[in-house]
Amino acid sequence: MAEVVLTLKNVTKIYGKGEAEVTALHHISLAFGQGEFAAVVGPSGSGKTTLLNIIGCLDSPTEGELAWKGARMKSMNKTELATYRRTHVSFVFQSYNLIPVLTVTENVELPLLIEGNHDKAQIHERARAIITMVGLADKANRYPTELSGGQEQRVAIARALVKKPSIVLADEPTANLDSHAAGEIIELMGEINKKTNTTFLFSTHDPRIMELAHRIITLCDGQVESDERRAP
Amino acid sequence: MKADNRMLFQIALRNVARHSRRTAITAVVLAVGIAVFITFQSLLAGMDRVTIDTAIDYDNGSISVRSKDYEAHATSQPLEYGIQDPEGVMGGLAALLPVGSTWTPRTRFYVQVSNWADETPALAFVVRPDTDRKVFKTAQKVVGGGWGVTTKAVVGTDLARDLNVKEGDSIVVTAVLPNGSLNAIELVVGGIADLPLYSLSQQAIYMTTQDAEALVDAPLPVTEIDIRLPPASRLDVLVAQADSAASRIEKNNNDLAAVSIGEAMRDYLAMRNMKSKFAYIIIVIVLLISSVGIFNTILMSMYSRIREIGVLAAYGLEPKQIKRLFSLEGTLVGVIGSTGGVLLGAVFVWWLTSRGISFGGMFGNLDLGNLPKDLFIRGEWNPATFAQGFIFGVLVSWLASLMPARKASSIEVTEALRFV
Repeated sequence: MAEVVLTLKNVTKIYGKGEAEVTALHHISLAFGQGEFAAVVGPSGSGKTTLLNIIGCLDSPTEGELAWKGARMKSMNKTELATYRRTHVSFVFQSYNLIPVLTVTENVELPLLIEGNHDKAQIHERARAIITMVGLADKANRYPTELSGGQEQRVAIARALVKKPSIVLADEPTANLDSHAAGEIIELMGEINKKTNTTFLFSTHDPRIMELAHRIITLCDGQVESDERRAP
Repeated sequence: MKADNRMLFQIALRNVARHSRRTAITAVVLAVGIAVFITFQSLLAGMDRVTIDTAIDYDNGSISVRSKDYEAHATSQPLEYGIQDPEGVMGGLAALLPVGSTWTPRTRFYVQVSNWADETPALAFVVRPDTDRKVFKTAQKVVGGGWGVTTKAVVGTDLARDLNVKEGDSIVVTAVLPNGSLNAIELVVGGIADLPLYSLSQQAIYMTTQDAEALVDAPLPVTEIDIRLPPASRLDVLVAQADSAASRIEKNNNDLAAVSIGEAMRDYLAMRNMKSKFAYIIIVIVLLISSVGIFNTILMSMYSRIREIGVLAAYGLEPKQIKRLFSLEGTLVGVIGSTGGVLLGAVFVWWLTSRGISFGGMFGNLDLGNLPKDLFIRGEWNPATFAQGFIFGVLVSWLASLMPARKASSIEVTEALRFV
């Protein structure tokens, strides 16, 4: 396996208290290497989204710990978690979640603006390059409402990649797309993974993503049922 | 501007524009409130100006210099406490007053005026016509040719009406002399003065030194030297200049009291301050109403954008930056509303200064005290009021947005992203 970038050790996530207590993840231990193209699969309620949220530091584990390139991320406050997200992680959401008042270019520039350490020309140049890469150069000045679902998800992918993250977390990225658009998005992400060696981790029900993935982690009732690796 | 601030400003600006109707309604309420405040303050300043100017033009001048004894007995206007060496005092004024100041001696004492049938108390003013017109505007209000003419008296409009006399009629003026005896002279009404102050219109009778000396049967003392200072663009400047000059005069003349216009109008100015506080109460009420609107606007905006908040947070926007984004939106609504208020206020004030409002008919013959009859007010431009209105508006908007902003920043990212 390539250099390990992220490890989860005995991660447990419990929601609620008393009778309402639900264990979403149960002692999960996983490691992810740089450039992996991994899918997390499993039935609804198996803990896929919770796992991605914890890896993305959108949520914190009840027990266990995460380590990013060996650095433990236990007991981080909200600001420190935000810094981690800003620096290392990007997200692609099922329903795209583009900012409707910003154009395609501005949406893509957003993560760089949030990072706050790039000059204007650099931000614009990187956004332009990534928009071209996802095939939306001619739509750069359009607003999200003027795009199709597939195009919106392409913008979301561009937004996720523009800051050159170590890992992209995609929660059911093709669930809202028709089969043609979904196929294009999967191909696009596969190409980017190969080209940039960015780690991609998906939660999905989509068999095409599963076919393309180098690794399939199957969850059931919050536990890892199987962790299958394939040759790329 | 830091990159993140620029980004926050950009998003905030677009969100404000996105909810244009909601923003417009809130901004309009805020604008109207600020415009009302500015207009009311302009009107109050205009009323102050016309009231103080009227007192200066017809009654007190900018400063009225009297003997300390006269001032102590001012309510009875006694003749026996005149100024010692008035010519000497007037000779020394030039060194104490700003260039362009003018002054005139006057004698003021109580008399009785009769039309041969009825008698009424009156206030006699003995004027020196050549210098009096450089200080007071009384002469300009006289209809008839008897101003400053021996054996002729000018009486206020209401006094003439009360006595039922007109120009050319004969009247008898009676005075109590310092020794307690009475003396009277007959004068002809040489003119009617349409004076803007009720107190003068109802009581004033103007006569020459020769006639007054015949009335009191002795050389006439000067009871006051009235001074007009050069005009000032702003009322507070004028009052401050008068206070300062009055203080200099008193320092140089131990036995004199110099009553500045601020001192003479102390009661009025105290009332004016109360009115001004009332204006602040108005703006506080209006801004409170507006703040509810702004609070609601930002809260609605927050609830309609919870997923966006989730995305921004997922991409690393810190809670304090999310808070700043929403408070920035509230502040922007405040800036828009306050700018509108200042512009609307400027239109109202322009109308007030160029056209003015007449309140004359509103009060009929009611005695308005220090306020002039036929009250006609022109607004006053006061940049400080515009600045106050603007700052109040922006500040209240910012404050009103803080709570929704705090709420937005405390939303859990995962909940925000799940929000439908």
